Amino acid sequence: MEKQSPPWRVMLGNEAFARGAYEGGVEVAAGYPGTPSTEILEFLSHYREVHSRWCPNEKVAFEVAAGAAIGGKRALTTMKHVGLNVASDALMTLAYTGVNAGFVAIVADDPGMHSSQNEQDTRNYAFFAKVPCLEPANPAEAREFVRLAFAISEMFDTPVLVRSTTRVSHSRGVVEEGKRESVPTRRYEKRAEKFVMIPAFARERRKVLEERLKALEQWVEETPLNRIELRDRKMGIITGGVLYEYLREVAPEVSVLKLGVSFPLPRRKIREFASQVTELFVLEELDPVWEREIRAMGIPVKGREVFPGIGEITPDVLIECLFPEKKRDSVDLSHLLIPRPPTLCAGCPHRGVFKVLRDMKAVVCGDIGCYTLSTLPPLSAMDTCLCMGASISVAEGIKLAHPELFVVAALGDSTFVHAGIPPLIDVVYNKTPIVVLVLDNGTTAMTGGQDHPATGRTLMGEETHRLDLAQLARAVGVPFVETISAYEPKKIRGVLEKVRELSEPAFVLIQGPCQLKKPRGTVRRFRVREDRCRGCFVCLSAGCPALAKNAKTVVIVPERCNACGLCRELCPFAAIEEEKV
Amino acid sequence: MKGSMVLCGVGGMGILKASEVIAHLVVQEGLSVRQSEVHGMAQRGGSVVTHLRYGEEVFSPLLFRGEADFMVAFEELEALRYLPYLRRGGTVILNRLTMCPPGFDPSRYPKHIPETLENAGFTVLAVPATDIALELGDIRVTNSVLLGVLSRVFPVGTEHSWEKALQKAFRGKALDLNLEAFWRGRG
Repeated sequence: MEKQSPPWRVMLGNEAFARGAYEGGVEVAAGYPGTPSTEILEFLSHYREVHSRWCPNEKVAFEVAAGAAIGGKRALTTMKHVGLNVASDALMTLAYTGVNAGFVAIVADDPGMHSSQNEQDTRNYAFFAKVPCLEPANPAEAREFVRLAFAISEMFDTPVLVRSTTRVSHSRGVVEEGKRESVPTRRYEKRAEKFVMIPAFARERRKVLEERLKALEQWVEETPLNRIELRDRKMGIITGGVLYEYLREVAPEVSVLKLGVSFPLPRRKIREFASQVTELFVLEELDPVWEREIRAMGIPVKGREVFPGIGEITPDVLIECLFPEKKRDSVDLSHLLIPRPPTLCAGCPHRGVFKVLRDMKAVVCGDIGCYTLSTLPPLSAMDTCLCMGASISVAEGIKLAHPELFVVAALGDSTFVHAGIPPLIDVVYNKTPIVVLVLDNGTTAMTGGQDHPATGRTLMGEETHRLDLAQLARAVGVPFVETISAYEPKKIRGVLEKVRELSEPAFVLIQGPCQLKKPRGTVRRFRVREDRCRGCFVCLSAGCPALAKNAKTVVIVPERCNACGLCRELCPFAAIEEEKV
Repeated sequence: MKGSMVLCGVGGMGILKASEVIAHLVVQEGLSVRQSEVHGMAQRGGSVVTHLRYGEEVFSPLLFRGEADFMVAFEELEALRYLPYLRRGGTVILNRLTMCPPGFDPSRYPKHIPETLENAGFTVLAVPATDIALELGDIRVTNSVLLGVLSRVFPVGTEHSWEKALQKAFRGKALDLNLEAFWRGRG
């Protein structure tokens, strides 16, 4: 007989977040892709009852969701940690106004920077904005906590943060499914004293914020989200998130205070726990947020003096720091290894332009996304990469410092729409003679290929107006605008030679679709003619992963080649040719 | 019953999908599972690893060094990279495929990896899974060939439950081809 199908499934953490929001009666969800948060909205978009959308950036997404909550529908916004920097302007004041229907922001941190430019700790924002923050440890809690977060948001009339980390969002576990809560849309009424933050009203709401915080401080003492698990009393560890999971595995014998709420802290419960154990530790990833608070309460606790404050705390790090006797024997042959960093994909249409820029000795201000993969040798293409959209404004600054340099800003289409438009307006307004190159691959590629305003499709799969980037550049007044195909490096070089001599701003749109979006199985094939290849290896200078050195010549690895033809363009001896298939 | 494994290779080889099948399998058998994977930047032709732990009660989605009972390596160099996670005497399902990282001289690529692993005391099941997949007409079923090899030694699940797990992960034509690949691997 078949085993009966249980009401639970194996889910990715991000799928569980989506499930929790769905069950929690969310009706509007908005976000911008960012690893490790992206899949939450992708999964949510499969539930047709929920209006899910990608927005141009996190600030817009946060505000759309805030508006929906003010309007009376439960609303969700999702982003990665650095996305909250962009949306933080809205967060800081939404904390004052409060919400109407439940409002939840899921923010995913990336300790260890698997796919990020920094490793900031979102719990700081909870302290900063004075809004509650929940911290699930696994996919099952991801579902449960998001569901609860909507109720908490309404109970206290506050935005609620749910902090995830890479190992919660991108791990799988067993999740029990429940039914969707039916939540009627709340009445909308004009309440200027609550929702219009002019100074006179904001001063009143400032007091409400402190009163709400007091009420939350009472609630955190009672909620089962924070729980004491007493076992061996010699060692007590205060922890939360995925670190709780590691700890249970590494040292199942120790006593634990598991914090499901990162902010505000349950002070009474912490005191109670501290009094029950001999030696108290606080185990937290990234910043010593809890440690500072607990020390300020006058409780002796060990944190940073034992655990690192940089990078991910893995089970191995935990063993190393606190339980060295549990270390297991293993075999390490790392002396034989060669590194394998991520690279621009074979066949990426935008590889060629970076070689052109390097040959022209341009200063290249890069931006967030795939094109940072051109940073390492052999392309060595980037001079700077700071944050979303900064390529353009940083390029302006470098040009101001050194007018004699050929300064180029290079960014992708999605990044340009996210945060590139105001700096482009600045380029025109302040007449900075730099070149803005938008390398348009028709998608948000690094996060797995999400739609955005210039793709002409929405997250729900509907056709919509396709933002014309060249037209936009003309509209803001860029005097020189040109569109070129990415597959014509010689023409790109020609245009760049021309704009280098200009004393006014230029905008060049280079178009070539992301090869990951192309249908598999190309009809074109290239090969190296051994009789012509002289082993100069010029073709390798573009860093294509489909090319490999043989003894004296180059070979194309057929399984990796995506037939872009760039190597043929680069070969000085016409040794690479298209095969007749 | 408690166990764990590490799956590794190069971005884009179907490693995540293979982990998903194993997760389905162990859950079908009434066990719990935790699994960790990488998305985003690391997938772009970089080194990719997933950890999988199963048992009556599992907490951590990440392995400790020296813990995993099994390794499924989609590429030989990557087997060496994640070897510290494997317990002494553990089993390596090794795809006979070498992919020199772009930009490195192939002469630097370590030679005789299967023998190196055996000499270090591991049980090695080396199979040309990519060649078999190409023979079957689609390089993407490399993962199912390797799952077939794993199924010979994996203590959880019957032939029937492996088939069911594959049915959960693949649909239509892709399912037929993956089942065929699985059976080729299982031998």
